[in-house]
Amino acid sequence: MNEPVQKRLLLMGNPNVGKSVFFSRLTGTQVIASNYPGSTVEYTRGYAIVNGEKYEVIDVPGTYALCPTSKAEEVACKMLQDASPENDIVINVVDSTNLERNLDLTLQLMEKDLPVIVALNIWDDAKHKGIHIDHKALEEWLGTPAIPTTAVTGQGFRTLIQRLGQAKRKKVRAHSLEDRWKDIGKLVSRIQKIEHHHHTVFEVLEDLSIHPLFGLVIAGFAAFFSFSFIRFLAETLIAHVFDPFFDGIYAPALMKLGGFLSGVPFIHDILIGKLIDGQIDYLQSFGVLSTGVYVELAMVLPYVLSFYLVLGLLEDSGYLPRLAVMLDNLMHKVGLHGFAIVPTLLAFGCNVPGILATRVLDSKRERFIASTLISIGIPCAALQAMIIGVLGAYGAWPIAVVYLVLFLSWAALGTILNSLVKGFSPELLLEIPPYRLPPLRMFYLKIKWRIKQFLWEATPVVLAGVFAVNIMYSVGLFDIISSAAAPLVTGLWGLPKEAVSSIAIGFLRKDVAVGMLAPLGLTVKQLIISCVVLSMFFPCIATFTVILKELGFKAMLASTAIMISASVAAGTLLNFVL
Amino acid sequence: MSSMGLRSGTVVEVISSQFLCGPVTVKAGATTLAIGHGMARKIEVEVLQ
Repeated sequence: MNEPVQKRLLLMGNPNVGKSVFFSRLTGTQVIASNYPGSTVEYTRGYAIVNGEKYEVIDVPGTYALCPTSKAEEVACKMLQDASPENDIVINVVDSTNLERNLDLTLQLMEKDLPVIVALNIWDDAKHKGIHIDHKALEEWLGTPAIPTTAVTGQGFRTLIQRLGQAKRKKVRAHSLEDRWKDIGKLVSRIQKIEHHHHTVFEVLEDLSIHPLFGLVIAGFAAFFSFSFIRFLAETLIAHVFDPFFDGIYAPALMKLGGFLSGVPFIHDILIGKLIDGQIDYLQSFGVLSTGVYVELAMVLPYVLSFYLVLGLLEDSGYLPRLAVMLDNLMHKVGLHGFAIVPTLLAFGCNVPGILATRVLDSKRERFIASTLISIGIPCAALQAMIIGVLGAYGAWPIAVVYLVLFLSWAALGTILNSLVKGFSPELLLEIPPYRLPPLRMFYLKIKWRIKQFLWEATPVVLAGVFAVNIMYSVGLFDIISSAAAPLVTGLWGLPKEAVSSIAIGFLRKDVAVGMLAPLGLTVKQLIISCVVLSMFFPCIATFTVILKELGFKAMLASTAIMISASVAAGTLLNFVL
Repeated sequence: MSSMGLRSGTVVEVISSQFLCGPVTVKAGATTLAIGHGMARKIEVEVLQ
């Protein structure tokens, strides 16, 4: 009957103070941490054995105050309401370089009558900046332990854990806002001393990158170098690592396997696919083990890897909030504010985390517009890799056309949605973090986690997709769909009716769908149209599910209707213009 | 906004203001904030120096 109650540790604090790094350290579970406010939008649970006792550790989204203004902050407040003083300990993570503001939340937490222990995090940076905090005096004043920590290196962790039991519930009288600031102001002037220091290169760059003119130049360079670097690294990997392996080792091995299977042509066709001139052709054979594995590992993986490398740098350096400021005006045109650029950039990797990240936006209206625009105009890394792979042979211009059309559709639809959807786009209010060097270990772990996630989630679907394609071909299902959709596909888009099967498979995985275009012998124009239509038409099943979950059934229907009409319009227009 | 470190009586330094009524970036103590133009317009300031 008497089930022991689960003891919990709640990690709470202002946004961007390092709670997620703490979480990873305590539980050994990898979560994404970055250098911008709002990288955690949903609480994450994990378990840790602390001082011989099992605790559930919860990484709560960052919050400035205990009255919610966004979905992410709502999560934090709800969490606190359900907390009990007997079983829960709040670890209040504080940014030591910004003590005064962070202590405001500390006091609010203590007013809730929960045991609180304070981690003075980012202690190393505070020292570099010449900020000296008398943490013993702070501890005395608070009446509960306050421990200097540096989460990215692990400094101070042992002390924090040892003293966890000393976390006190100190009944703090409820302050008025004014009083709280006065108290904190007095305290901070007593315990903190700031030495003057010379401006560092970072600080000069910080100001330059939000300068109205130089900021734009820097944003332009950042975009250009990111794109060039991603492409350069991926192509290099493909040419020198992946292709040699797949041509020299994997293909001969598959041919041997094919020899064994030649007695059962049905299985041979599904696993190895058709042989072209007696050889495996990774783009044409279309077997689960030939094209399926090749698309996923040799064409898509190198791009996913280099994309996440660049994204990680942008995230951890602290550049993204500055980009949000520079793009605020543009984003207002499509009914969003500048910070919506963060979910949008994440979506270039995969639309699913991008749509989840729209939780940092304030209203349902913004989340609907942002998610719809992401599904229409933002091709994921897998899709982009395939578009580049298929169109790259014809030079750079067809790829540029696809990106241009996607961008124009994104902008046009955003403008329309902004004027049609009731409501307004709230103004930007965003904390700009300092530039930091990405902590190497965390940086590496984040990429590793994302790649693992990609391989685990994408591989089964890709292989199943290729398998399904083979089965559907052999039972003639595609012929039925093709004939039904022929008027649209041939009449309006000018594509052969075989392309229908590719568009249908796009619902499963877009990279497989583009792969199916390769054996059709399409013209450049037809390839461009199919790539655009595939990007915009219908989200893949993973994106579809996340939109349904995040926005609800009605919004999902509306969003889908918009996607379908937009892709029909764009495909038709291209067919007549090109 | 007060919980973000900007409240009456705070000394602020304007870092930049984007073109076409874009956001204004201000520094208040250890915090740097980007504030939409409409919101920034409503903040009353007194010029120091």
